[in-house]
Parts: sequence; structure tokens; C-alpha cells
Amino acid sequence: MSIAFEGREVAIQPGDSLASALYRDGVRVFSRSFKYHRPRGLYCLSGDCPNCLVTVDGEVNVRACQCAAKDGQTVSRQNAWPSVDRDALNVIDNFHALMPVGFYYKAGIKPKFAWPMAEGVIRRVAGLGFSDKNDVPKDIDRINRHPDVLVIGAGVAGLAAANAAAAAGKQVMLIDEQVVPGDRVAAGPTKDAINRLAADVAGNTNIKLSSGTAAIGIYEGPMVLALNAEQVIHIHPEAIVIAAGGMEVHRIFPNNDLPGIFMGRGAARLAGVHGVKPGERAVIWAEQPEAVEHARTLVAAGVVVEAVVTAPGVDASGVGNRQISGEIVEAKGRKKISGVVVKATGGSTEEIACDLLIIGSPIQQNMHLPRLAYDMPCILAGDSASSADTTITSTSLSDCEQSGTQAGAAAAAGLPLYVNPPASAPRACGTAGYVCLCEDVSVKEVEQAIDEGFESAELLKRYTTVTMGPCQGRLCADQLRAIAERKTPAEAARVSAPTTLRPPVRPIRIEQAAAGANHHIENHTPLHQKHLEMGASTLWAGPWKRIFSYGDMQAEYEAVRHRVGIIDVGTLGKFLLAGPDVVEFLERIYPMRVADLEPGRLRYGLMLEEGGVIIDDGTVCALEGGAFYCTVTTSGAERLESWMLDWREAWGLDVFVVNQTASLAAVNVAGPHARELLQKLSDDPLDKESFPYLRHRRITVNGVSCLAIRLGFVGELAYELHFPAANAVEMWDAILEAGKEWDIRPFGLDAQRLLRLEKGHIIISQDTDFETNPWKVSMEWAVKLDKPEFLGKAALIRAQRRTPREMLVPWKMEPGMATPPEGSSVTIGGNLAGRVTSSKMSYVLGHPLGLAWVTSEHAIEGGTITIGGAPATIGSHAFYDPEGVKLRA
Amino acid sequence: MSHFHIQTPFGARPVSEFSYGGEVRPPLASDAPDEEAIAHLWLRANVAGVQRERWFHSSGTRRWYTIVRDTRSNIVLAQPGEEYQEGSA
Repeated sequence: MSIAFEGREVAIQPGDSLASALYRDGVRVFSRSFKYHRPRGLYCLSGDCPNCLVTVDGEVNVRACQCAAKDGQTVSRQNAWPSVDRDALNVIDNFHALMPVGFYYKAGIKPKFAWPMAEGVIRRVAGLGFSDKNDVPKDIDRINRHPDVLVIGAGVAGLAAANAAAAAGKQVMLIDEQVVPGDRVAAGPTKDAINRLAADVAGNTNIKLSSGTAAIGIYEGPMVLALNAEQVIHIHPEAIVIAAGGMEVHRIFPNNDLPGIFMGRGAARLAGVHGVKPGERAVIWAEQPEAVEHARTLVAAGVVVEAVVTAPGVDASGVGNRQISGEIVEAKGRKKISGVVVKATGGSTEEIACDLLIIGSPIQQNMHLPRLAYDMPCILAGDSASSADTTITSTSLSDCEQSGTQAGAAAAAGLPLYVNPPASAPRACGTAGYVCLCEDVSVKEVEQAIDEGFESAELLKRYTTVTMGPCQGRLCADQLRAIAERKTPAEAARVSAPTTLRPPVRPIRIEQAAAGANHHIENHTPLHQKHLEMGASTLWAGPWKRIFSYGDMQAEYEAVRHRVGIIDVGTLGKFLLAGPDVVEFLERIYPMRVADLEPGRLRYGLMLEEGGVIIDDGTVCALEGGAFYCTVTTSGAERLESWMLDWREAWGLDVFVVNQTASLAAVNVAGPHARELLQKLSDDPLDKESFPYLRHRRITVNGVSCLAIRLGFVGELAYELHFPAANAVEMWDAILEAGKEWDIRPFGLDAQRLLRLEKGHIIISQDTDFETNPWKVSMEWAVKLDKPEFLGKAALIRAQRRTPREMLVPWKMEPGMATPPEGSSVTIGGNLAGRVTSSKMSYVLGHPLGLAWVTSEHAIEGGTITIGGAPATIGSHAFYDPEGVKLRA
Repeated sequence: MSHFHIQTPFGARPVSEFSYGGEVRPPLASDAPDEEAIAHLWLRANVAGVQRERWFHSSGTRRWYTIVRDTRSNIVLAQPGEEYQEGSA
């Protein structure tokens, strides 16, 4: 088994991560640093640092230490030229002064023409991998889980917590980033404990273990967002146990970023789990007892431990060649570590040659998830519960297991809301070295930024970008606070306040962020399948998929204008309203008059909100017996149902509102031959005298009782038929069959929009916006201010006192001119004076036309405006059949 | 607990089934002066504390419900139809 690594084969062993396989093969430099191209090697081996980001099979910025090695993978390193091993860009490391913190705010800005060049260079030399522009994103599923208790982390504490909560009868979900609990832990007592606890978990049907799943955020609800390779999971638990572990504190001293410097748990992982010696001659900096265990692991792997440098209270007797009480103050070396400078407790310093330095610093909690759990029913366990200060912690195995068991039992019993403890003291931080490995920022640079006035950690974060790289502050957040405190001690509390942590805790791919984006609920009319069979193209209209065209928009359009066409309008919102107060209710909902509407008549109605803004439009039909049938726009049904019900309660009126949108189908048969066509299918009189314009009748068409409405929104003789959805398909077929002699065509929205536009009809939200009232669209005729009360009346009266800034006007151009795209700007005398909201080429009139917002002083009929450099004339309302003779036929 | 339920005639339902309808506000008098009307249209109290508010059960009974909730804790202090007494939290 092998992987392809930069042109050669690298053998892999079972259980290998990419990091362990490459390290065994001799790779020492895994990346080049972000700005200065310094060589960087493995450091944490826990997914917490940025040093091992590589490109795997075209996917950039994969953590080599977290990615299981698989036969046949192609792996390469990033951010170097010509190669990571011999990176010519490392010369930048000699010119730090040219790239001060915030240099992108300072350099290349002047002269202005230089910036695009500077930007190009910066983009090439800085940063991480290059993404594959031809990559096709995967469709990631988004699913929900509702466990009683969620346990994050399947280490000793997490496994114990899961067992305890399940023992209390709860359904438990246990998630962990690793594929198998404990598979990254070296053999020893910890591994034994994990194996024992994991066996209990596996035998318990109340526990669902989701491995390879990382929690990346905790949100109100609580809702924990978790990711694995295939899914994004929204977990909605009653209680959360965070057992996300801890990590050694990042130590800062000169050359603290050299390859060969490891965190203790990382080195132990490499040696104990993967059987790879991290070096030959090691110095161990043991600030706490766990580091002594790591030293033993290394000795067992055959590493010569030259010295163990211990903090007070740590007993390393018998481990390594020497034991020195003191601390590490500097690392030596250029491309990799060659020695360390040890400062003994007495004050003397000495240099010890080595090729490996182990940082056995105090364990701090992995702070991200606990910080995000504020105000949630959450409890911490294991290393997560360890305090985040610099005192030496002793995390004994039995303490860890006990803390997990207690947390699990508490979670099962119900948790109080978690409150973060007060901010811990900032960590000790050396006076030189790299604070931030991700963004390549040294202590000196942070201090410079403070001298420039960016005193507090929050400002430093933004200016220096420390904490903002791939590690998201895991290594550096508290160290940054320490420098701020050191430089401005008088205001320590203010300048060292912790910076805000935000999700995601782990990096998230764009395709994961978009998980579920394609999970739309698509509303279809009963005729949808019919349309598809006829080759229709569709588009979204609110929650509906509507028909855009059947392939030839012009032919569809011309059928309506010259012969007959049919459109599926089943998406309209359809409401039956009845009850003792229905007239009063509708009088208040609509700005026009409803009370005088006799049965059999109908009226166009705008719907306004309290501010007088148009939110919808449709028709109101007065039925026999005092009921009303109202239609609203395609996307409005859901919203307006709740809106009407809300006002019904606010006014205390006795009205029933029945939403018939789904139960009724509707088609509009339009064109000069519409009457002849329907008469073939109906015995009811349809002539002009029996059934005139703006009337509705209940008629029988093709044996089905329909509410037929004579409307004219496409500008021709038209009948809108509303009937039970179950009859839709047979009705559609019958009308198409009967219309053959006139070469009937079904038409889609594209044709309908032109038909409407020629009549000057507005489309709510296409032509109107959130401040459009009827005055601005010249629809005074649809408002009766002498009514006692209706929604928006007071606002409309207020608005009447001022001339609106803009008016919506119809415009046309001369024949032969190009149709300007929707959104084009309108200018007058070279000054911006509005914008086009709708535009189309009119086939019957032979010229472009549309609607546009134009500043009021220029919104005069017959006036000339300029659209996209071409002149256009403002009209009054309809360019086609302005007298409305055809629709009244 | 931040996740809460609202009582409907069909039992307590999770808030995820509802759409928020905003704080309950007194109706605007038709002869209200401009400033009052504009405040009614555009300004919300947005309290950190006890709030009477409306919820529409969009994925369920399709009715409106009025509850009293503490916006800081998401504890429902009065379910629909219940009386809320000041300080009973």
C-alpha cells in the first residue's frame, strides 16, 4: 500500500495518518509558513495547529495528522516555490521589515496603480493551497438528531459520561472526530481504560456512537452542528456533555517554530501509536507529570532522551540521561532544531544539542466548545473541565473517568444553564518567537502593533490577524492576551479581555456550509407532470416550480394575441371567506370598496400593510349567500393566510378563512377565440351579455363545475377557471383538444410577462419594493380614502402630503432599438434618475417597452428618459389596447 | 432551557413548528399623530426580559398563539390562554 507524494511513492502502514506515513518516510518539513516561508514540521498531531496542511486528491488544506492514509491517495505540500524542501521564497524571512504586521494596509497602496501588482504578488506568495477551480461540489445531506443527551468526545471522560447517562435510562448520542475511540492513543493505561469503556458503549443499545464526526458549533436551542464526510448533522439534545479534551499550551521562545519541536501528546502519538521515532536525541520540557510519561514512551521507542527539563514539583527521576530543574528559553537551528538553551532554576544557562524538543506544558481545555456553550444545558468533563490557567494540572486517569461519570449522570438528571467561568489570567508568554503559527506573527510584531495603538486583544486580533488562521486561536489566543497585558499593565483587565470565539470550531468546506441547500420543498400544481411531458422549462416562484416556457415563447405569445392560449394559474393563492363579519373584514383588508360588490361581480384589489406599502394583489369575487372568493399572488398564499388570521384576531371579527390553494386547480384560457373554445365544452351561456367582463359565474365545463372569472390581465378575452384539483388533468386535455382548430398553445410565465407588460400591469415585488405605495405606481383608482377604515389608510393620507421621490412609469422605445436589460439605469441629462424594473420586446407593437422608476419631476407622460444611452418615451398606462376593447369583448 | 414548547389544542408543540409574529403591541388609533404612527410602524421595544408575543403555528394547526416569554431565558411564563402575573417568574 502506498500514496503518491510529490512524484514518488510513499509506503503506508495500517493505522497510518498521512502525517505518520510521511514522517516515517523522512519528510520533516510539512509546510512553509504563511508569510515568511519558514519551514514548519509536525507539531501537535492533534489537528490543532496549521503546520501539516497539505493537498490531498485536489482538496486543499487537509490536516495530514487527521487524515487517514489510504492506498492510492495523491498528496502534495502547499505555499512554496519551487518546493517545500527548497523554498526560494524563504528569502522573505530575511526581510521581515518589508512585511510588517498590517503591511497590506500600508504597502502598495500608493501609488494607486501599484496596488493591483502588489496584490497579485501577495496572493501568490502568501496563503495556503490553491483550490481546484473545476471541482464539482458534493451534495451534502443535512439531517436532524434528537438524543436526550449528547456527549462530545469519546475519550475516557466522554465514554464514561455516555455510559452513565445511558445507565440512567437516557438515549445518548456520542460523537468523536476519530474513527475508532482511542485509535490515536499509545498503548498504556489510558488506552486500556478507553478500550474497557468503549466495550461498554458498544454493548449498550441506548448509546449511538457517531465516529468521524466533529462538533463545530453550539447554537441556541441548544443545537449542536456536527460534520462528517457525508453529512451535516443538526443535533437537538436536551443536555450536552463536552468532553472534548485538552492540549498542551503553546510555548513561545526564539525559534519555537522549528521542525523537530513537538507537543508532548503529538510526539507520544507518533512514537506510541504509529511506531515512528520523532527524532534520535530528545530534550523533554516537563512542566507537568504527563510529560514524564511521554518521555518514557519515547525511550521505549528507542529515542535517546538527553535531558528532562522539569518545572518545580515534577518528578522525572530515572528518565533520560539528565534531569535539570529549569526551563527552555531558546531553540537553535535553521531548517530544523539542532539544540536548546536551558535556563536552570539557579539562573545558569547551557546549550544542549538535540534534534527533538518535547513541549510538556500544562494541559489547557480545548476551549472553543465550552466557550460556545454559554447559557446552554451543558456540563464539562475530563480535560475539558480542566482550568485554563498556567498552574500545573494533574489529570489522573481515575479523576478523568470519575468526572465523566458524574457529568453523564448530571446530564441525565437535567442540567442548569452553563455559565463560563470568569476569564482566566492570560498565559505566560515569552518575549520572542512565534505567537501565531497560522498567520506567521512573532511577539515582536505584536508589540509593534501595540505601539501603533492597537492595545487590546480584540483590536490586535483584527490588525495582526493572530487567532484568525486555521487554528482559530487554539494555540495563540491567551498568549496574545498576555502580550497585551505585559505592554499595557495599567489597563490589564481591558487590554487582555478574551477575544470572542465563534463557530466553526473546525474548518468547514463550502459544500458542507451549503448542506441541504438543495433540499427544497417544491410545490407543484396537479398539471406539473403534464407540462414536463410537453417539454416545459421551469423556474422558482416562491415555493412553487412554475412553467417558464414550452420552448417557443414568441409562438406562445402570438397564440394568445391572435388565436387562443392556456396557462396553468393553479399556483395562485385561493381563499374562501365567509362569516357574519366578512364584509367588514374585507373592507379593512382591502383599500378598495367591497361592500357594494354584488354577487356575480368581482374587483381587483391591492393588499397594503399598515404603512401603506403594497404587499400583494389579486381579485375579490362576491359569491351568492354572502361569501367571498379571493385570489392572491403565487408566492403570497402562505404569508397572507397567517396575515389575514392575525388581523382577524386583532379586530375580533367573526370570519372564516379557508385556504383552498392546494385543493383547487386553475387555468386561464385567453385569446380572441377563448369564448368559442369554451362554448364547445359548456352548455352555459358565455356570450358578452350573459357573462360580461369583470363577472364570474359558476359554469360547467367538460362536465366539471367551475368558478369562471372574466379577467383581463393579459389584455385579451379571457376566462379563468377554478375547479377541483382532481379534475385538472382531464380539463387540461379537453381544452387543448377543443382548441386544436385554433392551434391553441399552452403559454408560460415568459410569454405571460410580455402580455402583462404590454398592458402596463405591475408585478408585486418585481416592479415594487418595500416602500412602494399605491400613489407611487399611479393606482389611486384602487384606493378609496373615503372608506372609514382599512389597513394603510392613515399612512397613505400622510404620504399624500408629500410628492413621492420616484414614480413607476411605463416607457417605450422606437422600433429597431435593442431592449435594455432589467435593472438598467435611467438617466436624464447624464444624471441618474431611476432604474428599469421590467423590460421586454413587444412583438405586436414592434418596439421595446417596460416599467421604470423615475424621479417624480421627470415622471411625466410624453417625457423622454435615457435608458442605457438610448432614448425612451414615458407612456400613460397600457401601450397595447389602451381602451381595453379587446378584454371586454 | 432555551428550546421551548407552545401549548396548542393538540398538545405542547416545539417552537420549531411555529413562525414568530413579533411582540404584541397596542393597536394604532386611526387618528394617532404622525410621530406615534411612525413609531408604531417602525419601532419595536425589543426587550431583554418579559415579553408578550405572537406565534403562528405554520407547520401545524395554522393558528395564532399569544404567549409570555422571558427573552433572556426562553422560559415561557404564560402559555396561550394563561394569565401572566407580574413577578410570577
